[in-house]
Amino acid sequence: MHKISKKILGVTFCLLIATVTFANYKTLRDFFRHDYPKYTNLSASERFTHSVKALRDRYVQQVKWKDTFIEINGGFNRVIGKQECNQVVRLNNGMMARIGSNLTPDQNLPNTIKQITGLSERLKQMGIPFLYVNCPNKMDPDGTLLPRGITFYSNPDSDLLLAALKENQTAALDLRPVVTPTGEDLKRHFFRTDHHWNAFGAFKATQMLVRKTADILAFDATHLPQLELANWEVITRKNWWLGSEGQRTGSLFSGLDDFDILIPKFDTCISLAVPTHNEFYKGAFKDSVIQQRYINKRIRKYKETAYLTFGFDRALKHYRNEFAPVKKHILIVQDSFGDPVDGYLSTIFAKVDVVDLRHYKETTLLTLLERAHPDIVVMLFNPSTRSDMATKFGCLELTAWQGEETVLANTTIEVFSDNNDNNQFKALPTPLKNGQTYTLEIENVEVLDGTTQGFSLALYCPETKTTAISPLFDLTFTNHHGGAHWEFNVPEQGDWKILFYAGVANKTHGNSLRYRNVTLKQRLR
Amino acid sequence: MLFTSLEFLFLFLPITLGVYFLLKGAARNYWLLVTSLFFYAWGEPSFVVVMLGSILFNYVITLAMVWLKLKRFRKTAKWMLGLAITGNLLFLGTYKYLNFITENLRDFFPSLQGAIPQTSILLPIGISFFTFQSMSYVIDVYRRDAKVQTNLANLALYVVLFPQMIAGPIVRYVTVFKQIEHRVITFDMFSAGVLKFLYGFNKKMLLANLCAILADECFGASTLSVASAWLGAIAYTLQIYFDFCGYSEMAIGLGWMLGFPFPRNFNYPYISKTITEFWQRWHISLGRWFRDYVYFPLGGSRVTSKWRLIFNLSIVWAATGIWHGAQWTFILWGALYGVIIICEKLCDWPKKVKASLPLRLIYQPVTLLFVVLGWVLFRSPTLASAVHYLKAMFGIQATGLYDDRFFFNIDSYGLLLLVAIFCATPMLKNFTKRLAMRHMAAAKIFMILGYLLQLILFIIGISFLVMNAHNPFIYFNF
Repeated sequence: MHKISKKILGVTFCLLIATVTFANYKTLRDFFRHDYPKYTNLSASERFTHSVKALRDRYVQQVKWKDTFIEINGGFNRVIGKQECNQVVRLNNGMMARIGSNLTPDQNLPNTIKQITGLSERLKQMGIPFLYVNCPNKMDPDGTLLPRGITFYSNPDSDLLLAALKENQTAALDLRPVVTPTGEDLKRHFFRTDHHWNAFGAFKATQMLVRKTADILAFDATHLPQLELANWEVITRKNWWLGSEGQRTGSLFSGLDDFDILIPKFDTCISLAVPTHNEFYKGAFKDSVIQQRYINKRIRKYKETAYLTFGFDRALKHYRNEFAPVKKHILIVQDSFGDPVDGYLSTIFAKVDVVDLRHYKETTLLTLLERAHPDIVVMLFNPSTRSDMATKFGCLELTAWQGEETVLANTTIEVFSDNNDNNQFKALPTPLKNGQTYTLEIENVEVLDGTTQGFSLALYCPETKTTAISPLFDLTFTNHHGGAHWEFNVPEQGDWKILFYAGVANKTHGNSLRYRNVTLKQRLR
Repeated sequence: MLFTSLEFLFLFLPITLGVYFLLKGAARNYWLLVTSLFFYAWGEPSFVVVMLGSILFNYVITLAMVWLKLKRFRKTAKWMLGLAITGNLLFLGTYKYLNFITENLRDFFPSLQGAIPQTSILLPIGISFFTFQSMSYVIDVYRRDAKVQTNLANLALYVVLFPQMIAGPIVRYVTVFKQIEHRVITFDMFSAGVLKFLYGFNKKMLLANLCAILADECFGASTLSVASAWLGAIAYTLQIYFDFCGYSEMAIGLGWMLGFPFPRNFNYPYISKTITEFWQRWHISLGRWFRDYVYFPLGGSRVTSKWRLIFNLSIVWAATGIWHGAQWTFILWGALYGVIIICEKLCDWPKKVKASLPLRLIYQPVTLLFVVLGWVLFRSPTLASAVHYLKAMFGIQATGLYDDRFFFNIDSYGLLLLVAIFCATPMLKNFTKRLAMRHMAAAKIFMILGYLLQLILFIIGISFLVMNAHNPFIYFNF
């Protein structure tokens, strides 16, 4: 029997190896299809070396049943009692927390402080108030939730940052005392398996942010129904998803998270324009702000994240709400922590613009802020990204204002397109000079035929068929709030044209639009 | 390529074994040779040429040596042997030690820095292993323990056979030369190889690699408490054993699968009662190589003069230390073992300890203590860092008796360390034997459960590969 069982072991081993090998045949196929052809121009030795690396990388990235293996790994680590798995540690309250950069003090903090205070100073010169919002890290104030022997530096770093901002008289709002004063609050306001705060944590943050902004901009926020949680409906999906930390450890180690979203009980009509992705949504909060696909159907644990329900990370997002109680323009410089907050703010502020410096490359932040000229600039970062973000402010790059010259005044442009998208746009014949900065103003946009809620413009080069930038506007909001205003730089090379679209580019069909009082000005240098 | 990699398990191994068993006779040898060369080239293709050059050198010189012997030019044949050994040692010395030599000469004699160039020769993977195997071939043929190999491909196969080429065990030519020509593989043997491979894989992935995380953290810390220092030392002691033992068992298992009877390389070294015994249980193939090819030719223990014995042992232990690497820590490590073994030999200590329980109770822990401290030296990149760590272990320049990190590591790794310590002893093996003697049915069930456990652990081990987890291999650089 001993020999038979050993033979069975031998057979089982062979079957196991064969099964996994055949299951991964695509890895080998993809290697020969996509990787190997890239190296045919190299010498034999180099080709071999590159191929080895490429094949090894493919096996690691594409191995079949990777999710199952991650689960097995997490389960094993749990069984042997490990507190830490793949750079994620289990806190004393059962939540997960990512370690890594948190384990050492932030060496870039002095530069971060310098950049934030510098930006605040420049905005002050422009007459724009600035507010730095210190988001909480996923930790209680004293780090008592950490297993003995691990120290996080995010809270001490935040303390240093806030002290420096106070010394430099830069307005700051510390959310930690409200969002994460205790371990219980941490559980209530953060996801168990993800590094983000949840809908309730973001809502709490929004309440504090609006009240602070009200102080700065002198509006009354004491009776805003949008800030009462009772005016929001809670939709819960139980054991719904595995967050970023859970995906590193497997759900057998971390558990699963419930997912809650807050939908306003009051009426809303909000538009969201995402110019870089040519996306435009308009309607009730739940239709325009919430990405419902991640809550309507069970998501794939390792391939999708429910957090995207609050919106994707995009370079620019423009929320417009005609019926907002506060007719102010707030511009938020943020990372993904801001995604749920933006949505809540869009129910309160008429104009909410969002910029994510991880994706925004068009200009420096300072140039963007100068062009947008909001009523207030709010900076909201997860502590682990702030130092990286601070390298992208570009405080020194603003050129002095010399005035501008009108190159086209009060022109009307009509664009007629049919259902086959013929003539979907019209080019402004006015030539544009390379390397110059222009401002395009449109007083009013009239829909002559069809229906569209938004409209696109574009800076386009017909020779190379490339679009440099293509802003997207809410049509109704534009007409009711002083028109559209677009400032842009013309690239150094190529012959560029401004295009006016009959609706949202490539999204709407068969519309005809009339752009009234179009003015083009060139900045003087 | 590592045995513990996805591309080995799910690309190289199934293809190699699959085609191997479809072929017959000499074709199998050629296939194994090609795949072994591919296996070696996977790490660094340019070194394949270097290795083939070494094989060709040994092939030609051995043929010449045998021809001279046949023609009764015995003295010249002996010179040929000497030339072969010198050539191999020069080859090994150049690639492995020249950088170390030039660097130290430049440090010790600054005025000669202009005359002594700073070399930066890359180290071919496994050079110590395959060079020693090549020398084994030449010597075994000279001694007539094995016939000369007239087929260059077969000789190349012996040297480059992928299971043991890169990290041992050092397989002597006399052990496998018959199987190279003709071998019979039964499914029993194949299955035994599978089991051995699984033991090795699981030891490496689940014990060695996890202990490595703890060891690296402790050895990498700038400040240590006494408890953390000891924890790190123990973790490394377990890491290096399961790492090397695991890899050897994988190699042996693969060898058995292919029909080659590779010998055991580890025999529970941490239960040794004396340092002498430790080296009979640790890296057995290396120990036997030095014994058979260096120690015995020098006269071994059967010398009349005590000083000659000391000299013989000193040579062997200096060579053992140097074999491990071009670093002062390895040399010192080997020298310290040499000193202790010399003392044990002169006092006839192993016999006394074996015969006396009280002595055993004292000396066995002392032996283990010395081994652990020796590993600290072995692990450290410099003598200074070794001294720093050892000081922390004994409370000098330590940050107290214990620290918070110690408790965290005990929480996280305590169970693992206990299991590792248990697995480092033959307790389970002895239990199985006793169970088999008393209750055969229970023993069989126990064994089947054991096989099932190995498969489950294998899958868990693969999960670590998929997670791209910590997967260093210590003896890869030798």
